[in-house]
Amino acid sequence: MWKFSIICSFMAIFTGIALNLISNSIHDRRKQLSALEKKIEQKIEKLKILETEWEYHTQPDKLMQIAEDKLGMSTKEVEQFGEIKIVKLRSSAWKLDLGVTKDNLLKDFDYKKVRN
Amino acid sequence: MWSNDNFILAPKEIKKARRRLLVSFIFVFSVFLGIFSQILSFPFQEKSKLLLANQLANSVGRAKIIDRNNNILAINVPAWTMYADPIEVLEPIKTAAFLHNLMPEKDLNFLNKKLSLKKRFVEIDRVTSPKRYQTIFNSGITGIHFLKIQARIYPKGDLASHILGNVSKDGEGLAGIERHFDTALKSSEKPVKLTIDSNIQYILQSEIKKQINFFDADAGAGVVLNIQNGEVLGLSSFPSFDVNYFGEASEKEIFNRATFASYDMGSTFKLINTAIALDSGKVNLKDKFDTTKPLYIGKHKVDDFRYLKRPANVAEILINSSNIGSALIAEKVGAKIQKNYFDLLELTKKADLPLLEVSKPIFNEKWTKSNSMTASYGYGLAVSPIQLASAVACIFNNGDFIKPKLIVDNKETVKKRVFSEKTSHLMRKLARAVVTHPDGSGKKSDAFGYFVGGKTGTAEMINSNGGFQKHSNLSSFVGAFPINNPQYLITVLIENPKPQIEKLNHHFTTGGQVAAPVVKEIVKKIAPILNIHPVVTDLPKIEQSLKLEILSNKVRLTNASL
Repeated sequence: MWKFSIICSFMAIFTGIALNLISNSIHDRRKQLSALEKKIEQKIEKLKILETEWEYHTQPDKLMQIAEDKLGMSTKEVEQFGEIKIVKLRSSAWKLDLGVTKDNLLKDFDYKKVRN
Repeated sequence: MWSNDNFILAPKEIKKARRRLLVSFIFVFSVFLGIFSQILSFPFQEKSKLLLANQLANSVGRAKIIDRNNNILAINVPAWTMYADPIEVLEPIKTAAFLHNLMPEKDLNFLNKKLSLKKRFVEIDRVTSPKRYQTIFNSGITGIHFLKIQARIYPKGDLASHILGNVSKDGEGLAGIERHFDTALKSSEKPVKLTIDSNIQYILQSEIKKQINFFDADAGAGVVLNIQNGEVLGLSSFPSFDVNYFGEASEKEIFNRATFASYDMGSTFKLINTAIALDSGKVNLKDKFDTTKPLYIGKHKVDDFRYLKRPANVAEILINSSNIGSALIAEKVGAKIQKNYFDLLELTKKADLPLLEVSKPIFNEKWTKSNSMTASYGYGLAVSPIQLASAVACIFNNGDFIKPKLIVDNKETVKKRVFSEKTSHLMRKLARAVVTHPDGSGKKSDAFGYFVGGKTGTAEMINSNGGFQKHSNLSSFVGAFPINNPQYLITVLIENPKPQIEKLNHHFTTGGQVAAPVVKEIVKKIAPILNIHPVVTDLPKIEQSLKLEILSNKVRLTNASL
C-alpha cells in the first residue's frame, strides 16, 4: 500500500512537472502566434491602405493629366495613323539577299527570323 | 519486531482497509484520467487556434468591388472613428482649434459645439485616416478617443458611383451593386468583378459632363456596350456624386438616369421601327410613304421638323428622321407585330440588371394603333437608356438580343434571335447613311476612320404635369462602331440643353448638334483602349461596301443643313 502510494505520488509529481513544462511552451507558442497574427493583420491593413492609395493616385483623370502635362501625350488623332506602305525607308532596308522586300513586310514577314 | 505473522487484522478492519484502498485507487485514477485528457486535448486546442489565426489574417469585413481590369472600385480599409468625451476635455476651445487645424473640412464652430456638450460620447469624425489618427494620438490631447472600424472606401471618387451604390455606417449595402451583392460581399472574400472599364467609364463621364457644361444642360446619361456579349463597359449618369461623401449628395445627383429613368426617346426609336418594318416583311426598303404633309391620328397631329419634297422611301424616311413617314410605316406593320418585337427586345419589361435602381417601362398596356404609330418615332413607350442601348445593339449584332451584363462571370452569353442577319446588315448601312448622307442628322458623330453608324433623337421632355415641354429637349444619339463589323455601341442623352447662339452661331439643341459630337469624341478616345484602329487606306472600299443603292448623295429631300 505504502509503495503504491509513493509510486503514485512520484508519478503524479513528474507528470505534473512535465505537463507544466508543456503548458508553458504551448503558452509561449500561443503568444508568438498571437504576435504573428497581429503582425499579419497589421501588414494586411497596411497593404490595403497602400492599395487604396495606389488606386486613388491612378484615377484615370489624374493619369491623363500627368500624361498630358509631363509627357506631352494626347488622344490619338486619325491623322497620326498610317499604313506601312506610306512609310519611306532607306534603300538599304530592301536588301534582296535578306529576303526583305516591301511586299514581304506588308505580309507580316518575320524579318528577325531571316536575320538570325 | 514487526512481522506479518504478528500483525493480525480483524475481518472488520480488513474490509475497512480495502475500502480505503479502493477510494485511493479511484482518486489516483481520476487524477491520471484528468491529466491524460488534458494531454489529449492540446493538439485540438492548437488546431482551433490556428484556424482562428487564419480567419483573422483574412478578415476584411467586406469584399472588394473591382473593374474588369482588376482596378479597385470599393475596398474596406482600417480606419478609426474619432469621438470625444467632453467631460475629459480640459480646454474645449483649444482642442477644437487643434482639431480644426488638422481637419480643415470640419467647421470650428461645429467642433466647439460638440466639445461643449454634456455627454460622455460625441462622434467627431466617422472615418479618420490612419495618418490623422497617429497625429492626434501622438499629441496626447485629452478627451479624444478612437474606435477602430472598417471603413468602406471608393478610391476612384465619383467614377461609376451610380453602379457601385453605397453602404450604411454599419456596413449594410444600401444601393447599387453594394446592395444587390450585400450578402455575397459580406460572406465571401471573393471580389465582385464588374464589366466596367474604369478608363472607358471616365471618358464617358467626362465627355458627357463637358457637353452638359457647354450647353448649360440639366442632366445626362450614357452607356458603352459590347455588342458581342452584352457587357457594359461604361454606364454614366450626370450629375453624379462622390460615393465617399454619399450623405452630402442631393437626390438629383444620386438618381441613376442610365437605368432608373424612363424617357420617351424620340427619333432614336426610328432605328427600331425601321428594323421591325423590314424584318417583318411588311415593308420593303423601296416602299414610299407620303411625307409631304402632316398626318392625323384621331385628333393628334403628327408633324415633321421639315417636310420632305416628295413621298420618301424607308431609307429616306430614316435618314431624314421623318415622324410622319415612321408613323405610316408603323401603321403598315401593325400594332400587334410591333408590340411582339418590343416584347422580344425586352422594351416592355424591366431591364435585367443587378441593381435596385432599374425602372419599369411606361406604356399603355392596351397597345393600340395610335400607340404603335407614336412609338414609331419614340413617344408613348418610355424606356431607360440601357434598354435602348441593348435593343439597338440587337439590331446591329446580326439580330441577336443579349441582355446587358454588369458582372463578369463565366456564364455563356445567351443570345435570342430577334431580327434576321439580312435585316441587321441592311440596318448597318442605313445607320451609316444617317451619319454620311448630306440629309443625315448624325454627321457630327463621324469619327474619321471608325465608321460610326447610328441615329439621332430630339424628343420633347415631359413636365411635372405629364405634358410635353415645347422648349425642353432630350437630345440623344445611339450608334455603333465600326458599323461594317459592329463591336461597341454608345448611347448618349443630354437633358434640356440650352441654345448657344454666341458660341455656335445657331440655336439648335438637337441630338445631331448636342449628343452626336459627344459620341465622336468618345469613339476617338476609347477605340485605342479597345484595340480598334482607324482605317485609313481601305476607307473608300469599306465606305463603298456600306453604300445603299437606293440612296443618292446628290438627291436631297430638304434644304436644311443640320
